[in-house]
Amino acid sequence: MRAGLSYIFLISGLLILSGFFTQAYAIPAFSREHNTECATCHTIYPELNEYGDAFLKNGFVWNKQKKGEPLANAPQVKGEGDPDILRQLKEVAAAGLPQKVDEPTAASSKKSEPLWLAGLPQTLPISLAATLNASYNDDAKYDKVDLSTRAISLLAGGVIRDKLGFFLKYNLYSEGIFDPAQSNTPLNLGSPYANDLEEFYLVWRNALGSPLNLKAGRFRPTLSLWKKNNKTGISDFATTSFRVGKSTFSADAPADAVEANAILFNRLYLATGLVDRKGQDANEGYGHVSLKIGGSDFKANEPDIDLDKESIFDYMYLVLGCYGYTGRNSFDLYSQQRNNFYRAGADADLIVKSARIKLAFARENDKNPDYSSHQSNTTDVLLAQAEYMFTPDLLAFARYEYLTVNDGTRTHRYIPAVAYAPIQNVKLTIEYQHVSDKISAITTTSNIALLGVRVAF
Amino acid sequence: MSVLKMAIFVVLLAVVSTPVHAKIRAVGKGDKMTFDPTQIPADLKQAFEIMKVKCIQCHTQERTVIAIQTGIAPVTGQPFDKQATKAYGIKMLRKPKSNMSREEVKKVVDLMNFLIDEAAKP
Ligand code: HEC
Repeated sequence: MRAGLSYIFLISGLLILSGFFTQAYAIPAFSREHNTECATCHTIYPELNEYGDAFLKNGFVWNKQKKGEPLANAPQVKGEGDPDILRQLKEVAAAGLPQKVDEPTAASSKKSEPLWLAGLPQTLPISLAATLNASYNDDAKYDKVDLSTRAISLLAGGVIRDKLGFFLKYNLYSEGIFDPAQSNTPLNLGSPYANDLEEFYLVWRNALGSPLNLKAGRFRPTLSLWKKNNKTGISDFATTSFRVGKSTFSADAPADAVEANAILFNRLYLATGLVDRKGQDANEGYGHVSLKIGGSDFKANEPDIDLDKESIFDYMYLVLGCYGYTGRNSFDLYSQQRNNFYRAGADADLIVKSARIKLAFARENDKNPDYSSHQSNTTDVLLAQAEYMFTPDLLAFARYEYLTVNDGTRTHRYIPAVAYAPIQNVKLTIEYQHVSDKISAITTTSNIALLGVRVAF
Repeated sequence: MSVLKMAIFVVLLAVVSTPVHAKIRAVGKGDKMTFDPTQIPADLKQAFEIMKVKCIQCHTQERTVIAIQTGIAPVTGQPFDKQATKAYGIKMLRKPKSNMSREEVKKVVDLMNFLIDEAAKP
């Protein structure tokens, strides 16, 4: 029952990944730089709203007015030189104008020209995020109640002269794989999910004046509509976190990669990339397409709404996305055993006022997932989540996940959760998971309650 | 003053001052800040009342005051002119739990347009 074993591995991997590993993604560095609140880009952090999504897609720059358009009410600065630099200098000058004594000034409106000339952000673009977790697992043999300080990470992000975006996430400490049989000792190596350097990448925005953004470094390939941390709950989405057999590939795993992406017609987003994953001798490739219907566009331009007519469509938008990934991995580079695989997925994100529905489907086909038997396997994962924001600081969701493997293995997960952010950068989440696994005609269930506290500053 | 000096003075003034925005006065500081009510005409008083209640649910009025006085939206650094006010109104309206109606937003947009015009008066 080799195959059976590998599925046990898969499912336990899924649980470990999803239930016990949670990290922050929100970037207070962006808040500081732009002097704005978390709610600008997040529902309850780190889940992104449409503006946060646009900010990410545009390489950490707010949608700017088109080149050549005069800045309204800007002071006249005349002179020769690079018209682009001149335009940007004008913007800096406009924002940094000395105000009259009794006129108000926003901190963000004080921009230093020397800092701008040096290419430096106006504030140190660094922040920290920390997660504390408590879990209760009635079925566990030991350590039913587990208290843990999960992760502390250093986050940095920003943009240099609107040209070069950068993002970094360094795990200063992370508890890694949860294994009560071994103790709660910190683990900061080994697991591909607890790498010290989780992400570091640069984005060359609008390369050579084209709509293309070129991204290089270590990052999560653009696949699903929601990156690993783009969620309010504790557990990861099964559609992106699942792994098959011994393959280390998951859509959530960061990798060394290059990517080209572009926003076309303001509502279509395309991304394609090459991945150089560790332990593999050939590069892997992927592609992503998404389309936004309604709401503001991917450049954060507001839709033109008729303020005289009431229409529910004005409070509604739909994002559809699909992706494909193909790769080949092995136990190690010397091994003759190769596993060719592909992953394909489709997502839908529907927002109607305070309600949000996320639907996702992913399929992975592996030719040799245990690196020995050459037994091909297909795994399908389905996910549906309904989310409702009661107040700007209180949100609840219910999620159903279904995982099926062609040998008959089935997993159902039911996950209700409540997320509460009494202050925008402090979040409390209570999540319950009911999991039922059917492997080789044997069904097992488990129930886990999780409490997570996350702060970012 | 020589013509040259005069010219330099005019250019400098254009670079460093905000003469076009001087017209709109604000009263109060920080979270108490609002537009000086004496400059709001009678037909826009109702809009001003709406603004004073609805536009401070999530942030202070300082944001709007700065946007109008400087012509630049304080967070995104975008132009805040009469072409932009409606889009900002719509953006605020569409935020979850904005607790505003279109009618209210429309009135506030009209008021902001009036204030922008006033700010632009020499
Ligand atoms: C539901 C909460 C909410 C309400 C209500 C609200 N705002 Fe805002 N406002 C925000 C947030 C969040 C931001 C941060 C930047 C953004 O999202 O554009 C903001 C930013 C702004 C800005 C700066 C925009 C920029 O790009 O720099 C202005 C101006 C503004 N609001 C004016 C208003 C006015 C006028 C109203 C009333 C019609 C209003 N707001 C009502 C949440 C709100």
